[in-house]
Amino acid sequence: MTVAAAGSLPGEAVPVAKGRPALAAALRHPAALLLLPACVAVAAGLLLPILYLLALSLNPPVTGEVALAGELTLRNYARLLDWFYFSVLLRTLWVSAVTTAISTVLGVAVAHSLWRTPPHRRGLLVVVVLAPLLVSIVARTFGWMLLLGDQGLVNAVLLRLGLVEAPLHLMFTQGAVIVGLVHVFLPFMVLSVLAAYDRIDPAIPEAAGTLGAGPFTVFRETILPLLNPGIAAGVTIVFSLAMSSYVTPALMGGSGAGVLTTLIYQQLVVTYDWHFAAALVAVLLASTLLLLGAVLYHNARRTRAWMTRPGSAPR
Amino acid sequence: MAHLQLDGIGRRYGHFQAVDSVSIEAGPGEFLTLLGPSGCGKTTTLRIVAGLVEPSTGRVLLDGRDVTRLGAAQRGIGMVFQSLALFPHMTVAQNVAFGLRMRRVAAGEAAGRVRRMLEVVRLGHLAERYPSQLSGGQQQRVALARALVIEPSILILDEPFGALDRKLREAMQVELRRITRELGITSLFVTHDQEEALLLSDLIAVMNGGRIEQCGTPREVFERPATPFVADFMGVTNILEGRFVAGNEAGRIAAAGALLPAPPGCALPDGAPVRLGIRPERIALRPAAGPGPAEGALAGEVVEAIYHGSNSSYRIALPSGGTLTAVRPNGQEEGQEAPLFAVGQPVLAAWEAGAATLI
Ligand SMILES: Nc1ncnc2c1ncn2[C@@H]1O[C@H](COP(=O)(O)OP(=O)(O)OP(=O)(O)O)[C@@H](O)[C@H]1O
Ligand SMILES: [Mg+2]
Repeated sequence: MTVAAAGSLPGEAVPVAKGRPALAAALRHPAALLLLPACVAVAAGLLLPILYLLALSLNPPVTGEVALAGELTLRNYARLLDWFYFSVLLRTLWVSAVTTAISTVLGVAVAHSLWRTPPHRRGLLVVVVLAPLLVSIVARTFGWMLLLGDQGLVNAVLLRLGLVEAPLHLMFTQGAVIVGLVHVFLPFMVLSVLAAYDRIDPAIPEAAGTLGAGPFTVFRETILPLLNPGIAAGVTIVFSLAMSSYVTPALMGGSGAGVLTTLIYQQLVVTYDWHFAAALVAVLLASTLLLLGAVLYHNARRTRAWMTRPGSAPR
Repeated sequence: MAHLQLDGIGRRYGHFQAVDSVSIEAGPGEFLTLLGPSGCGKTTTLRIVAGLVEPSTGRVLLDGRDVTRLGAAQRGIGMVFQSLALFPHMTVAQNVAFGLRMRRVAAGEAAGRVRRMLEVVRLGHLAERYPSQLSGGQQQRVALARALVIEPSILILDEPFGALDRKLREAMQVELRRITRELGITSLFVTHDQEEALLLSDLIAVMNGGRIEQCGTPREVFERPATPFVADFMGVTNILEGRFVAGNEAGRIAAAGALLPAPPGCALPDGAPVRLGIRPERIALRPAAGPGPAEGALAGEVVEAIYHGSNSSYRIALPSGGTLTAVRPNGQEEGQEAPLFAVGQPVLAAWEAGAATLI
């Protein structure tokens, strides 16, 4: 109630209520007040710091200075116009995109077999899929180090089998970062896609089968398109998590595999250049949002026609 | 048009026998209905025919060819699912064209066949809509068109009208009859609605607990139910156990403490145990004149009277312990107001000899 009163004049309330029944209904009920703490928390914990950082990025760089100054400048952004930073941005996008692509393929495969599993055995398998999330990210990363290191298990096996002469350099590479990220983020993709699978009428693939489609065609023509919402959700989650991941690239990437987050960390903690770090944050944020926005928009345009809720008016 | 034969089909799930030695047959162009209560194995039988479930025992024959081991895609069977299973991401036309596309029919020819089939189900004007933009009855017809356009050897329908309201259901039943007769297609239909089965079918197989209880024409199944279950399912809800009493003419049946007329044409030895079935709507009621039984009628007391509008149903407790259900029309009948009976009223229940059947 107080929220509505503070935000709008009494006379405005009616048309707003007409246009957005959900919002109006929320405001008419005292339960809407329960949203307040969450809103405050998001504002205080996320929006304010980001706005502050963005404002900071427009101040002239002064080492060690974190207070806002009155002077506005684009000098921090001008510094970004350098092949080095551009290559870091490209590498970040590349690592995140490859991570997302691999997670999507593996995630759909895992979700497909979970969907095929009888319900009573599925619970256990879901726990197995979620297991990586139960282990601390640092512990998990060290696990990969043991596996992929020069003296690690993989190299030991390859050497013993005589497949390689000298240990392969697997750890501290871009590939290692991607492997680590896929490992961490796969469960998010699996869960998103599985949710979409569970909304598919099991008779749909059967119907395609009786109409003469083989198993692969059934998947490509009838299942995959219906997984679209789940894949879009999974891509959003995995891509943004990959773009903003720090621990895995820092621990598993070598000096040549730096990404935006590790660069930001350096600016914040090593060189104390918060203003330039803030500009990098802005680049990270903008590139993530732009890319995801473009992908989701394109996707929504393709599926808008048929993804109407049953009961909504035909166009 | 094809000849469908199920030969001793059975299917176990663990220790549960969902379908048990089902043998039925439908000739070319015939409309065969599996009728039975929920969970009796109708869908499982259908799915075995379609190739979606493997039978544990028995064979499926199409035109005499054993197709038991063939996959669903190879059988060329059109199926309408209980849930319809339309492809939500395809338009009506794309849904119908799917089977043709899988068969690599040339695009031009396919478009023509889709258009003609949509005309048959009267949906030509909605070809570019998506399933979510259609009403239930329209979705139903898309599913039918999608199954029929591939010119299947057999059309299989699993309670396709279950989700529709009564009026639409009746319209769709008429439509289905028209289309299947028009195309002369062999059909296997599943329902738990006896009226629907009677209306549509050339042959009805009544199923119970995974087995076929009786298979015959609608008339046979309706008028001469072979088992108490079939009788009950076909609306013969009054069953009296008794003995045959041979007499001068047709004989009588001693049951529920009275001597009742036996159905004509039954030649049984004296004292043979019989089951007499009477439909509720064939029982006439009249107020009991005095105490004691009347000749050829059962005396009882009304224990429940329900007014349904055009008729009323009465439950009548018999002194022998059982109950009878009678359904009587309300309103004017031969110039007189039909009497309504009240709970507690003693009545006499009688019926013509030909109205009862021996089960
Ligand atoms: N995959 C399965 N696993 C175990 N039991 C099953 C399976 N499928 C069906 N059954 C059992 O087999 C029996 C018959 O099922 P079916 O689906 O054929 O019934 P139905 O006659 O079609 O019923 P309804 O009219 O409710 O659709 C049911 O008791 C069901 O529980
Ligand atoms: Mg069923």
